Amino acid sequence: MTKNTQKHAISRRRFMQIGGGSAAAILASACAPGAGPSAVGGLTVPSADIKATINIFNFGGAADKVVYDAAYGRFKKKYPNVEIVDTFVVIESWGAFTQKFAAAIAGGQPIDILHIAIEGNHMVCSKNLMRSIEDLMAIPSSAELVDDIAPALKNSLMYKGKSFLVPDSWNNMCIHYNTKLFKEAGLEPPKEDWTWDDFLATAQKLTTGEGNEKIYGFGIPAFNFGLQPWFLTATGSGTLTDDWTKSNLDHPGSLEVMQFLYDLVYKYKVSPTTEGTDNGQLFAAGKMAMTAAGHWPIQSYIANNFSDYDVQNWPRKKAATTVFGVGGWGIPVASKNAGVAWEVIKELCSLETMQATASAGVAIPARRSVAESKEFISSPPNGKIFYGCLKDAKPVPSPNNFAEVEAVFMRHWTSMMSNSVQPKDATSAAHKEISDLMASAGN
Amino acid sequence: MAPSSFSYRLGSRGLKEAQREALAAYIFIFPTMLGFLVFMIGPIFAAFFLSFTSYDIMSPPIFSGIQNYTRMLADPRMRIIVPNTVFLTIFAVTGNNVAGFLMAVLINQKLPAALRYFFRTAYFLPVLIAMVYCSIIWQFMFQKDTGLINYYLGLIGITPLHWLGNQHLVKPAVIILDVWKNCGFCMLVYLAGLQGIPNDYYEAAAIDGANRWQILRRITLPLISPTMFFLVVVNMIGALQMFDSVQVLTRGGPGDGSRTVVMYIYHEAFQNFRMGYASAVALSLFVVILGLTLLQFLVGRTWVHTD
Repeated sequence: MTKNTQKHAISRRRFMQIGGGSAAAILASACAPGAGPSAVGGLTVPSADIKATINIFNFGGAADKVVYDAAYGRFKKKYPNVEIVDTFVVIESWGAFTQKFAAAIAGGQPIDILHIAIEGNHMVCSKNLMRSIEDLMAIPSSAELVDDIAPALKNSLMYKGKSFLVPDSWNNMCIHYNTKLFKEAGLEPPKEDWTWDDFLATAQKLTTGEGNEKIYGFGIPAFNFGLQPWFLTATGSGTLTDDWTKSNLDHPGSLEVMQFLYDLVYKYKVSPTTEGTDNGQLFAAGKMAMTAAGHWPIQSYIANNFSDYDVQNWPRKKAATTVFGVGGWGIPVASKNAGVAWEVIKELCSLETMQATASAGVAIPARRSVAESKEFISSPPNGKIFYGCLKDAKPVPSPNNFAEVEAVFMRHWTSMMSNSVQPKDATSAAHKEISDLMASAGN
Repeated sequence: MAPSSFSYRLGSRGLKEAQREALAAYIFIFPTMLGFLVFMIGPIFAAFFLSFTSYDIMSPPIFSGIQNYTRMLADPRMRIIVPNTVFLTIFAVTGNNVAGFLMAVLINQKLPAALRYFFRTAYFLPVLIAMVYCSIIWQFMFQKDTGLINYYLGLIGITPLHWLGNQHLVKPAVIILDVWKNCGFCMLVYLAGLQGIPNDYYEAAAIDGANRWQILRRITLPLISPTMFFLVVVNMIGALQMFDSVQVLTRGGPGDGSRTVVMYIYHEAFQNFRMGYASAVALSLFVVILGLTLLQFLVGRTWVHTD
């Protein structure tokens, strides 16, 4: 238990006392804006006239920014004297975002709310930078929010058994396929329980033409998150073991994955080489019959009037599963305004905000009620698999040295996919290097 | 000219004219020197200090002696990354200078003025565009299936090349981009050098019956050698610090196939948060660049004609 969490630890009896009192306090404060502050969950529920500045370190794209700005606008109506300063980082990679956050911390930038994804969660928690939000999530006014989020999402953001982030949005990996090309090839849409063998046979039938006329059966998602489902379905774990402490690349199934993906390009020739290939572009242009992604490209499909597509589960082998990654809001220990920060987070995770997230269409909202709403799952036709996959999906392995492990794995991956190294050598070299890293990382 | 109030005040304190001028000069260069100290000398000293520590930005540095330097010497990735950097430097410097010189010679011919301005502007234009944009554009051009280069190669029967995904092609791809981007600068400097050669020399050589090759070898190259020396030194320093083009174009891949030393420094410092190790590599690179530059000045005495 960190020093910080000890500071906020409370007994069960005390919790019940506070919890009972807090329910009344929240009700009172909700009914009477401007009423005096009251104690809730070890913190003080701020009065509506409180003056404060909340510094947020945030990430996302242009569409997300619109959603957050609207949420801040709603919050300002409740707390007109609270100023929100949003350091918004347009995300390029988790490594880059973590780097900017670390630089902000090192530079002494005050941060009251951190928006970060699972990939960086263990890193910031292992440095004792974050405050546990167990107490805040346990208070009655948070129940409506907490109960609306799938346990898998909440659990994936825990560090050493404690919650540090409230999930707000997430993504998984599934197969996107071109319905028109399937029809032209006389193929039925893939079944939800299809296997690797079915997948390969389908990809082979869909691969046609030569040179500039070539249509590829499948575009390999050549990024760490996108490659995890192959390892999960073949070995039951990702590139790391389920506890994220050791390399899983010595599992025989891992070599099978690397060989299979290598063969898709060099033996079966159903996939283009991965470096310098834009799967999204080829898929939307009808030059690639299947690819893999999460929910994030769907908005661009709509924007480009591309509707000949649907989604299906990841093909299974040993296990039927896929990967998911989740982002969430947390409060750094250094924040002097944790009470106000929690109120901002509640607004950022409100139904209204998540409905706006759903409309933006990039990520899947963490609230089940929104992600399973008719509006959200109506497009694509099989859109129900997005939230539905959570019962079997596993979080992307995210140890505290995630960026380094990812870089090592991807370096060996690109060596293999450029045909400079054979799958067996790439897998064993990656295993050795990642094992050394994990041994020294103290995950 | 009436003395300014500033020099008048100095004068009133009894300083001599030369001292007053020197003091004024120091005051004028003070902002620049301050920036140089804070943003150049300061970081160099900080990097020197950090290179003897283990430092992850978020926790205080811990003294680790020469561990970072011994690790660097044993680092297997350095055995790939250093040769990459040397390869890129040699070919980028050569390519930029040869292409720049040839373009300058062509433009220096008796062309209509409008045509000369057009070519000069066209060749120099890439220099004005930020490298990141150039890299993104070339990334599209180098794409295997949808790239423009492979499209034209396909028209003449060459099968699509995997420029960015092949260990053997990726470095030439980086060099092509670098030369396209930077040879315009060399062209402009060479052109200025060529136009500075008095025409009398060429006329005298022609009267003596010298052919084109003899004129190039005996007149043009010796007289342009100071320009060439300047460009080789500047290009070498730039090439040894190659970063943004490769970062955008290939991210150092495939594997470490196109990774440069500066990329590795960035990666270690800001992705792996090993500031100590990154500082050790950075200082080592600084020493190498300094050494090579001094060496060039020494060797330059044998081939650069400054008279």
